[in-house]
Amino acid sequence: MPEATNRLHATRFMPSVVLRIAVLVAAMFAAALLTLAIGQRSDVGLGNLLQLLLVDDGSLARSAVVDLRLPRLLVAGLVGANLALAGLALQAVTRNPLASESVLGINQGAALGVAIGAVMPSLIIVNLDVMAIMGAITAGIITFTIAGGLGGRLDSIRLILAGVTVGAFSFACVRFAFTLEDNLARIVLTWISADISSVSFAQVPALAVAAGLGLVASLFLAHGFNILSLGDGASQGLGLDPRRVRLLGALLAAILTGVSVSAAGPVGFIGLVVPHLSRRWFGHNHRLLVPVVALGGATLVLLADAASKLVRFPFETPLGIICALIGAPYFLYVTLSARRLA
Amino acid sequence: MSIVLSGITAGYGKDPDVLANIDLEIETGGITVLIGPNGCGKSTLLKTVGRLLKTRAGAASIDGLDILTSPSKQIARTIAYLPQSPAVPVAVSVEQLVGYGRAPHQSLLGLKSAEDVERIDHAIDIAGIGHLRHRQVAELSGGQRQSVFFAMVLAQDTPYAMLDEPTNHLDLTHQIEVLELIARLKTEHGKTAIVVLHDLNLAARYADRLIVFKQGAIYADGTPDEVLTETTLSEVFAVDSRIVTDPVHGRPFCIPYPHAAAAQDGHGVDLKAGQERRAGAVSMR
Amino acid sequence: MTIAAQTYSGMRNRRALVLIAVTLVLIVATAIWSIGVGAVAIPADVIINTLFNLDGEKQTYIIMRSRLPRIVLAILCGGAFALSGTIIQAVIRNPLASPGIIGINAGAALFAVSLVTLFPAVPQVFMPLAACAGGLAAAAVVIVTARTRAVSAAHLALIGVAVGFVCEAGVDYFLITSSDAERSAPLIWLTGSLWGRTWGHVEIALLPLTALGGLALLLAHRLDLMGLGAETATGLGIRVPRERMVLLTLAALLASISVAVVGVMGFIGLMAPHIARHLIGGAHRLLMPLSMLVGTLLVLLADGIGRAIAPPIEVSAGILAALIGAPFFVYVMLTTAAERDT
Repeated sequence: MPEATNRLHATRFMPSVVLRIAVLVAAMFAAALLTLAIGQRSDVGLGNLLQLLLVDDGSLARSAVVDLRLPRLLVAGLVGANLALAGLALQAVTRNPLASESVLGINQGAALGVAIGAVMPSLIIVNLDVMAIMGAITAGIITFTIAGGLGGRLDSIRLILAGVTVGAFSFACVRFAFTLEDNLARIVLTWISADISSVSFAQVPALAVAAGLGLVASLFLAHGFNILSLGDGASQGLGLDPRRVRLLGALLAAILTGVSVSAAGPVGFIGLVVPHLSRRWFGHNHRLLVPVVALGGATLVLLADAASKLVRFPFETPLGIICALIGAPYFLYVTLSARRLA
Repeated sequence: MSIVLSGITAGYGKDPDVLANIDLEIETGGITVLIGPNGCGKSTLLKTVGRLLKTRAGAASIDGLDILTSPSKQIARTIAYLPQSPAVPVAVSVEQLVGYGRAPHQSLLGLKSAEDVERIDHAIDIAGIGHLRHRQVAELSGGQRQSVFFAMVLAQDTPYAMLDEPTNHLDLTHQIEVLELIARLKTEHGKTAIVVLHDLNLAARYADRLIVFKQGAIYADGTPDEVLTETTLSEVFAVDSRIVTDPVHGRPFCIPYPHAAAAQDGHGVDLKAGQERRAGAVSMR
Repeated sequence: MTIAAQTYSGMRNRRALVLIAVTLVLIVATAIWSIGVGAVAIPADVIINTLFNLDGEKQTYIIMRSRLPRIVLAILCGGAFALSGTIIQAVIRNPLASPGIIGINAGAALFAVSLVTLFPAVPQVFMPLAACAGGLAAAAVVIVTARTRAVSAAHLALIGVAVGFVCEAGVDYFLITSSDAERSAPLIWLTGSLWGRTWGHVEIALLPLTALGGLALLLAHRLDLMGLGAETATGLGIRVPRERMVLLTLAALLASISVAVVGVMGFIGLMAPHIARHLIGGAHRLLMPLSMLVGTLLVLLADGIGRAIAPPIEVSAGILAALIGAPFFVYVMLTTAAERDT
């Protein structure tokens, strides 16, 4: 009986879902135009944006839009989509709506990787980006191990506290690196605040491939995520190997986060805020959530990028700082307004 | 000497009332068992008397102590409350946990008196957990833990004790063990127990007074013989049933069947028998 | 039966006494060793001559002016952090809780950093005051919630974590927008160091910390009941919301005052209770004093090692304490996680 009602609801609200997705797509394009138009140049505005994009008139304005702002736009959008998808996967595999890279200490681990590389260049493996990814993975593994492993007994509050502890430990070490030398402090600080003002087209292909693969893989895993929410016993009973879904989901999240972190730095809280808001507006079906979350992530980071140009105009505030200033209060709002969390 | 509830209305957060306008008096001595379907308000009643839930209206007093205005410690010396699944602290031994039951009798500094030590030993003895005394509570099985928490309630040494589904998640052996303990408390120590149970037959066997809850109100109240009827089962639990007599204790024993409505789908017993039963229920009234 | 029980509890008390005695001896030995190490090495006999005013060679200036106040502060604050952590772990009922979990460290950091960047004219002696206020302000959110809303202990921890994230986001914003010179003072302080502490700091901290610490030790047994959960504790006559508020306020005061004088040493409050619980078990009347001594020992050791590693450079005690304790902490977490699985 309740199932039948659900189905009824689903069909009845179908047009409204399509409408809401359309609104989301429109919002994403609006955010993209906004972040393209905003900047220090007074000769670029919403009015002549299309013309600058389409016609190569050899002007400096055209060059600013196409060579500087367009790659930045693509990086911001793709990073947003990737991180939001990673957050969705993390939340599904941990069955914890608050799990995300920054809460589980993964971003802070990446920062520690960079700090170690900056302090002791002899330890660098390949380059700082690889150090970041390795730091992220190590922190993630330690968090999950402390919380009780990827087995079904992952205790939700313990996971969060473990993540916060690993994150705090990593950050304490990073802060210590700051105190050694001002120059070093600047390198590490710039990196961990996820400044994307100097990205180029070279970073776009990897991000785009990851986003495409991430979207497809998430769609394949969506059914598994839905069933996993019933618990391990029930999943097993429905013929789904919970450990396999969990491993694949965690792997997907790690790859998406790693690629994003190496391109833009640790942009925090996107993986928390976007899936959370999406569930509020679109329900709990992962098949629908996957595209919604990808769109929402792109939109939010594009907006944050626009804000990063505006907050202290004409100076820029790094993207990571803006996202933390949006995401952390949202996290507080969620914990304060929820009646029951743990 | 009794627990008196008048016009108690209670509920959770902003949700609608779970209990509405309950009037109830429970005299000292004897075992009162509360039964009813899930969400009927029986656990909520215990939580209200246990001060875990603020009443929305009405008043409750235990031996003349108003539960809202009396000092919490004084009430804890009068009535004990064992929740459904009490949290198990880490790195605490059985003896220590049982000792926590003495808290309401101790001063702000919490120093153990000779009487405290004696009561703790006594409680461990009665609960039959002397062999577990120095073990860690967290290492014990579910049944053993229940006995340990039971001993803690005993050490609290109150005239009244409220137990919220003390047999929950226990195997048959431990269920009987716990209920026998409660019966001994009544007969040997003159305590008053208020117990929430799910198993109607065990409830009927151990209860002196059976109170049936339905949708936040008291549906029936009396001895098991008076209360546990086919009508009650049909109207409260929505099942058809036969009530027979337990050959050993002489208490009513119910055998449930699917409701007549379900029987029409071919899942239940035949209709004719159902009609007979209902006819019987009416005549019993 | 009774006799057996008394001998057992007598045994436990004797074990506790032995442990406390051993820890005390270790503390004295570490303190004397620690006075000797640093940019100027001082032999043990000179230290003893100076401290007890015996005849023979003395080194009054360095010992009395620079090293001894640090040692006293290490003892005071190490104990205070440990007591605070033990209280918070009992109230939150989670072994991963610590003063940092209710936002104290991040709040202190936010107020200190914003003081330096927003009001550069204010002399830096006010930084400890700002830090103390920040720690208390952040903890106040958790404490007020604990008083006014019937949320679970785990939920309280999540609110504390969220408050911490908001403060961290603010700290990052101020750090990135400030200049190198403004940054360095709060950064050194943030990593938790006893460098340059004087008798003035001791004077500030001595009275409040000993008074609050004494109160905490007196109330130790009340923590036992909090471990049983809100329902059982209420049944035993505890008014849980009020009790939580009182205990959390006590913990917040202990930690915030310590943070004000020695900076952020987040991991002492996390690890000391674990080490102590491992040694003596979970009854707080014994656990609290032992935990306090372990905390003291950890900070003394960390401070001494930090000076001994590469004089004249100092490695901050907060970092070293974290590094020393981390492996043990992970070990404890892994073994308890394994226990839960059986």
